[in-house]
Amino acid sequence: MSAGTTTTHDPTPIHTLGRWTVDFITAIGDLACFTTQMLGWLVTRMPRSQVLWPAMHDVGVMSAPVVLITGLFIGMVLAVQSYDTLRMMHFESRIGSVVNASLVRELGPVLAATMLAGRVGSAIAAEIGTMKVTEQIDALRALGADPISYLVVPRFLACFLLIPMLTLLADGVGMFGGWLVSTQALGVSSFYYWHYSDTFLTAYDIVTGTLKSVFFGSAIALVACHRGFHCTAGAEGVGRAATEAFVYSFVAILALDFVLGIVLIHVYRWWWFVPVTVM
Amino acid sequence: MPTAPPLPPSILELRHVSRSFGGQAVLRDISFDVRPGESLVLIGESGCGKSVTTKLLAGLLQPSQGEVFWDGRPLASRARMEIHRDRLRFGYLFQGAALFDSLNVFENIAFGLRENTRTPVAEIEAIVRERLREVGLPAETAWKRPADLSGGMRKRVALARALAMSPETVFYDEPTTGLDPVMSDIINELMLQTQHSRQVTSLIVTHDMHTVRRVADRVIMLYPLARLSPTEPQIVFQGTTDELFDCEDPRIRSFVRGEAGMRMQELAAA
Repeated sequence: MSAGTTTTHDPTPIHTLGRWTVDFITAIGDLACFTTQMLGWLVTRMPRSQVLWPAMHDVGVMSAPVVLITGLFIGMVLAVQSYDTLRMMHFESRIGSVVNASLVRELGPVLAATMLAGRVGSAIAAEIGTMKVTEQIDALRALGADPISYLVVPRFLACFLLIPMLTLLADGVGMFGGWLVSTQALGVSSFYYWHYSDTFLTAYDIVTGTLKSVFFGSAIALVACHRGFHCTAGAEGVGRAATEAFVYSFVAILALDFVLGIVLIHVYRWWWFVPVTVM
Repeated sequence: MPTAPPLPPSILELRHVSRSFGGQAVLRDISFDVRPGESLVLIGESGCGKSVTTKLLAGLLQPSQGEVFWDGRPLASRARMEIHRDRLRFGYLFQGAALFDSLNVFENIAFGLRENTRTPVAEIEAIVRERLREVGLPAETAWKRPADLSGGMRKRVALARALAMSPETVFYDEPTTGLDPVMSDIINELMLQTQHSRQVTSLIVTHDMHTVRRVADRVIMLYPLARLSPTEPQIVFQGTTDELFDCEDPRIRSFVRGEAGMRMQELAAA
């Protein structure tokens, strides 16, 4: 090979893996910068009420029906799936503790957040993506508004504040659904349903479940807005941004659930002086 | 012998500016200035970088190389808040109007005032009514949404929005694209009225020769980089409207006259 000449090769799997790694790290860094800018605007300039209330209405009020349905069915399905196993061990009267503890600790926050990632996250990404491809974001800057302050902060606040409330709503309705199926269809005593719920479900479970949903809501807002701002041109670009918003939000929810689960277990053990046995 | 009076200092300037997107060069070593009070028109084929040039001048894009100057000072040396404050001196009419879909016409026009000033509500209402009147729209238009408006109405609302903050310079990005000939001339007339009544500086991007004839004090023509040799300048013409229409350069003649002959030969040879 003579000096000064270059030959191009088809990328090998190593090249592709390297490019994916660099792209992934770049995307994480970009998201971190985006988040930092948003937090900066959050503490320096609160959005006007005319901007904040519509965002809260879209995230909170408009999501309530689908969250209610989600929570109801989660509770009912949990009751149905748990009953036979508990009955084999003659523990069917404790179904309340199984359903409600699972609901409040894990399934309520995760499934409600997943539902909202699809509904709220995709909508946010599509809306901001459409604004980007139609130059409305440039128009915001030309008119003296910062796009992150005007578009991202209200949506972040709405998700940060309201997704935990929606999660609690899902939990409550899920408990009702579990009770309904357990007592009306499966013949479990209502007294024992709530008695064992009260025994095994603690305030810490409710607090940790709600705390998780705060992180999930924040992740949904940031990922969805970030995807919208990086939308490529045309209808395909907007569609891809909406899809990516849901997929990346969902992955973030699962990752956060895992990490927070470990952290919160250690916090619990440290706070109540429980000896560490695993992890 | 009397000497020509010195040209006023430029309010906007590009010096050796280049811009690429994802490795694709769009602008290469562009230099020109915009003088106060003039109506400068940028023309060129689709994709030659006219809109990118305008956004660079307005500070909405950063150059890959070179510098942008506002009032003789480089943009890169300014703090973010200073750029934000100075950008309020500009009005921008985007190619597709870029009205905010979630707001009605009133809220669109009042947007800049609400975001950047403490103008009382009553005064904002008066300003919006006045801007609508200036662009020839009835007051009832204020409560409509952008989706309810025709293309020409959207452009006029966008112009009203661009003028709401009483800018010193107005950027018009393809103001007549997609409009019928009559509406196009209405927009041309509004641009002229705005320039004369408000003493603004206008920078207009267009490939409509009728607009060029009507509004231009000076014309700059850009050429697509893909059809230039590495040493050829991207600005292929700079001068008055009369000089443009008398120019002998075949590239300029074919563009001005709307003749595809030379381009068809290039496409056939490719």
